[in-house]
Amino acid sequence: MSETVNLETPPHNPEDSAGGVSPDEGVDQYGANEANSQEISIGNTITILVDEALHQGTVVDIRTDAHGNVEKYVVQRLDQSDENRYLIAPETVVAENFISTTKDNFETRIATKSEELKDNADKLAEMLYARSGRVVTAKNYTKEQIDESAKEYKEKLDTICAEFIESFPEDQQEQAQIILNDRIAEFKAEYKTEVSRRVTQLRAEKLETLGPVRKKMLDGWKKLSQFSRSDKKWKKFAGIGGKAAVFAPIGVVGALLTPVVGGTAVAVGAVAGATAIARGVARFKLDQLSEESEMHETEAAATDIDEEVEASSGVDSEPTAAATELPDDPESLEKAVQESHDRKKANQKRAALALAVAATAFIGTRLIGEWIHSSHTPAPKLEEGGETQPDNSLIDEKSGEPTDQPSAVAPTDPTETGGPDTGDTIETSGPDAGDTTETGGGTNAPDQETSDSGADSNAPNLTDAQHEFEKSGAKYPWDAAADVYGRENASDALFKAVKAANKDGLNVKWHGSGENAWISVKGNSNGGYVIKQLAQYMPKK
Amino acid sequence: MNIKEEIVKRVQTLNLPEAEQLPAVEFIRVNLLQRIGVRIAEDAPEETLTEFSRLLDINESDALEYLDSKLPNFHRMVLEELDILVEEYALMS
Repeated sequence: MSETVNLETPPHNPEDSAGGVSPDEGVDQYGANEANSQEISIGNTITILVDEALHQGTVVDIRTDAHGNVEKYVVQRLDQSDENRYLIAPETVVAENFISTTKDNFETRIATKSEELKDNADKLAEMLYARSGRVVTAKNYTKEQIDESAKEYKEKLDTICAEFIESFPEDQQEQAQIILNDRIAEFKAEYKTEVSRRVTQLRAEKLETLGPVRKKMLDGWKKLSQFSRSDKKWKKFAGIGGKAAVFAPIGVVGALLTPVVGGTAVAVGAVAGATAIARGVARFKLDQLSEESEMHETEAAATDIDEEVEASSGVDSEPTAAATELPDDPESLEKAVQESHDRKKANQKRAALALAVAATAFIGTRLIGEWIHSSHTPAPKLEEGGETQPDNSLIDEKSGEPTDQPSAVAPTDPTETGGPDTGDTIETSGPDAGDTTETGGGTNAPDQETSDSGADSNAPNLTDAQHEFEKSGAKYPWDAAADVYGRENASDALFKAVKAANKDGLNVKWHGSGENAWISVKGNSNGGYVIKQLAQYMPKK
Repeated sequence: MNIKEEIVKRVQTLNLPEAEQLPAVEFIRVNLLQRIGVRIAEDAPEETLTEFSRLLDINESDALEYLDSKLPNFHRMVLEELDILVEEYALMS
């Protein structure tokens, strides 16, 4: 569907095509191809099918025939920094609305089947619980019965996905499959582990009948496992857990609080959610883990340095496991702290917690957020924001002038990140609300204060969560959402809010993708402004 | 040894489709943390749990370190629960 070319010098002068060229018409009767649904110009970001996966790329040139019809787009993939560019046939460009509709419809499909799946999961969980030997039940299940039930459940998951793909016209099934490939994998993994979650729940329920001591301990453990990223303690535990050889309770808890892939929540989110979902998870190789472990150690050290600074400033005096590794003399310590800060700033640029962490919600949110509750309804799936045009309309809130600092979701200039490299491990401590040494005591950023003071007279009645979101003091929407809903739920909350705002007629758009996504409202991506505008659409906690 | 590596190693043995590996790892990770809590609550003596809960209200690190001193088989418990989770996943794969 495409060929790779190495173009030292584009053979076609971009200036010649700057005005955009209309693609051929009538090729795609189902509207799956971007080329047939909107005009594409040089500089546009488009989604393409390459190597059986969806990628985003920037159009650097457009080749036309003698009649001005588009023959090929020359595209530089956003996730590649090399010289390779792709010659893309118009029919290979995938329409954003096709992607988002496909994903939306799949979520609907899952939702309609969720009750049925829950019944199956419950049945299987009960069997596994009975088999565990941790309970005496009237029912005894044979291995064959359990295997049969598990097989039935698996087949149901497979069938839901297969039937959905088959519902597309034959010539679009491959595209739909690719679009949903990672989401389908995630869906299956989620529902398979849902059975285990229910077994855990049964075991917990049993414990609660054994007296208050065990129940209290369990409640405490639950609290431990719900540390929010905005909680300094989370940072500390995550740092301890990152140390490769720690297998004591504190290390295990710390390790399990953070995603396996990536030093923090970010990397997994970046590869797994929303826009990136189609390309990240599958591409990630588990054998990168060793690199991640090393990163954890670096991260742990950075955490320790931060806490040392906090201790010296009286902010927080909790000792850390690796505090003794810090330099003794003030000069060296200052240097170490500065290096830590520099590293953080660099990582902030790469990280863009944004959709990254936003996307992280798919993993952990639903389980951690609901652990040991009696019902489990999968949260709405993250979806493609739809807008992939380069954001040329970033407006400074105060001056009304364009700004090159997209800040709605994350402190990242996408052009500086080198693309959503899923292999990157990203430190999240930068925008962490608890990181007072980094952010200057957690005070509101100027833009936040400005926006806060702007429109109160017309402020709608806000729920508690909405009010907290609006007044969180965070600089970026994701951080504000994490403060209010917890990091596991932040992304879902944001996506719901964006969806609700759009439904209400507000012009809210996602820009970029993966680690480099941000939000704009009416073309303004100033973080404080976006928070203010989205507040009334934030869901209940 | 690292618990995350243990999860990954076990998931790799399931021969899942590539796209399913990472979600499986992450969902198992989350489940494992919960399972460990339940397992401790099931197996530890009430005195240990009482003291753990008390310490937890004061300082989480101290509470976990206390568990370390009281549960010499913690390492084994964790791996057993991990094996159970992976086995459960394997049933459906």
